[in-house]
Amino acid sequence: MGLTAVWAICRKDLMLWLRRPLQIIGSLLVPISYTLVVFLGNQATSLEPVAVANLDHGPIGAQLVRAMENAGVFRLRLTSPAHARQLYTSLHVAAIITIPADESALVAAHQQAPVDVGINNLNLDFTSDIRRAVPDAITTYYAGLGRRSPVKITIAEHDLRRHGVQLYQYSVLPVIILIVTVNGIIAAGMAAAGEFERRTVKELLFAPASSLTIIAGKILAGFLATFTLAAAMLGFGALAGLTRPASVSLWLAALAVIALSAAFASGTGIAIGTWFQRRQPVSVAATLAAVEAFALAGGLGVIFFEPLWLQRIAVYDPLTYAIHGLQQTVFYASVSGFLRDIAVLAIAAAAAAIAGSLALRRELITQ
Amino acid sequence: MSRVIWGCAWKDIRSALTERSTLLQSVSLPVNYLIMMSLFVLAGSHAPTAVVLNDHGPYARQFVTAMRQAGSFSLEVTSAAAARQQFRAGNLVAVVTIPAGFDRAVARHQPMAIPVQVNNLDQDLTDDAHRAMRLVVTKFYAHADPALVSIVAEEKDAYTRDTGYIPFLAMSIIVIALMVSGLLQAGNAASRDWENATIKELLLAPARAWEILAGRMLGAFLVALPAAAVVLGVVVFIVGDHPARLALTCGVSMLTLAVFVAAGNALGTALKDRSTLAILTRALPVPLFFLSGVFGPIGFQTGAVQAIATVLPIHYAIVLEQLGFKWFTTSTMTPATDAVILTGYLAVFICLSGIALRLSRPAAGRV
Repeated sequence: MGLTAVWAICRKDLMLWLRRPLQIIGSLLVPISYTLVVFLGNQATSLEPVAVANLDHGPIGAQLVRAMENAGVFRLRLTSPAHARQLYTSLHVAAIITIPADESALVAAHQQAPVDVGINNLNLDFTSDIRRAVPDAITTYYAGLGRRSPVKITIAEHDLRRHGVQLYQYSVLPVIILIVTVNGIIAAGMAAAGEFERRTVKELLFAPASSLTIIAGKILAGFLATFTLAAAMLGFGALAGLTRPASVSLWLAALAVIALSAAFASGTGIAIGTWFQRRQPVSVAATLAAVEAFALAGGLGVIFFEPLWLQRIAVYDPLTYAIHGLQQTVFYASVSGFLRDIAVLAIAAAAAAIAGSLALRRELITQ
Repeated sequence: MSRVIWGCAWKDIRSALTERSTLLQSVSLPVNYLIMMSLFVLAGSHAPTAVVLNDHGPYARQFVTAMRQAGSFSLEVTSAAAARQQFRAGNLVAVVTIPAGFDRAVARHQPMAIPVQVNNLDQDLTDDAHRAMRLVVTKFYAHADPALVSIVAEEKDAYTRDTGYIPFLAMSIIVIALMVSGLLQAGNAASRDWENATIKELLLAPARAWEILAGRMLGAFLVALPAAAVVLGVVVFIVGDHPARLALTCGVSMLTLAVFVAAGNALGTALKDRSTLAILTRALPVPLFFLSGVFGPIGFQTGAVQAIATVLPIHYAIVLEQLGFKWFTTSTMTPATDAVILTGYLAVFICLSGIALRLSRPAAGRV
């Protein structure tokens, strides 16, 4: 296998890839779409607008309102009952919380003092948020009473990790893996399919290079295009303070995960491109394959907290190990399960390279 | 006249049927979005939690019942060792330990802290677990000793039944299916004539421009219909959303598809290139979709999102679908106004298609 020939084929494919900026943008659109699912979804499903009508002029009403404000769950609008009703019927608030006029008096008399909560229960997401948030405010109020509080049960929370990771931060790494997968399959797949579409595959066959050299050059091109893009994303994330591995060794570990994922995607791309031999179906198949693999690996959540049936499928998905490996090294400064992740990814990359090689070799012989 | 329209439509239908990847995309993209959103919802809905009971008294059991009824946990009562093992493996969001002496402390109104270990992988999960535990405390007191805690939330729901988040989102997925298939089919049909240089023949044919446009839109509408029906079938038979008003649902779906067929025709005529159209069709739906009130009434969103949504036809299609399926009122306007606005968009896009074709006449001469 001549290294000069490998590099020549790789360079030609890379130059063709760079000449198609629309293709690069197109392969980035899918990850951007799913980033929006997480970011906009998270924003849209938090901080519901709620109208509060406090009719109580005693201390309890004011303390309950303060507790709701401090809970950080609602966008509160303190208003009159009539205006609250108007906001509710015109769909500008999701709920009305009415603190009755005799709330303080009833509490002082140790009688039941219900707070009315009218919920527009269109869907369980914001309904559950409100159902959780009102008792949260009530508990906060009682906690403020200290020893006088009748609520003697308290929750002593111990977090497993010292630092919390925000949801938007947490979602960055699966998106990097999605970029690796989509771009790797598209870059390598298009390069392979392009040879058939442009009818240059015969020239490749007649070139004084072995089929192994051709395949290695093509996989290398897909790998470099993908790895560079994903490493740049990780670097950009680090600059923005979102994804910064704590040490040089953790940086190397993260880059190793990205490299193996890129090799896996590139090999898969060659197999898909050779199978379809046309660029348009490759684009569709790449998107479908990448998105499904991403979804089944728990890319939008935490796979270990998903339903058991999904966890069972995820075991066979290489992206599960890529996402896990990257999250452990970048967020939690841990190499727990790293060897397993790397081993699975290496096997998957080797298998994809073999599948790609066999497909291309068969077609080269057929041609 | 009708012969010309049907002739144009039939030509486009036959051409479209040869492009299987486009047909596949019309179904696969919306179904993918549904899968993504479902996984996004599943991940955050029920936190897998272990309860270690070191006290088996009636109050301790009531506390566990309150946890089960909180609607926030996927609960498993287990031993301390098993819980520790699962927590270490990362399969649990939280471990709640009911300490020995819990019953005695509750009966004697003595302070009692319940240790909760939280796997704080991301802040969103941590906050949910935290609020859910506070809800459990108030639920527990409401049953165990109602006289003790006088402030309680009294809920009044707007609808008799809660709607799950996935069935709620699925109604909007139909709109994304109609949008993708309408834009793709009509846009491809319009661009194809430019790419294959058949536009010159069309424009020189003894037929009026509006007949050609009508035929093209009819063809795209008929080709897009099966893909929309497949997604509708998934939503009805797999997700379980049964239309409350079938005629209204079908009418709204037809009108929505017509709007996006007209929009696709205008876009395809303007772009004259199928690959650019495919990229735009993949890029546009998700951002537009998220800005159109998919997660709940648009009135619950920020002012900027509300302003954007009111100029997008998708918003009116979504609120009308929600009305047809569940008889939900999610629009700030009357249903008739929403329908008139959506019809207005159809008229605007038809006019734009005509203008795009007229402006393209000089370009057709150069084809």
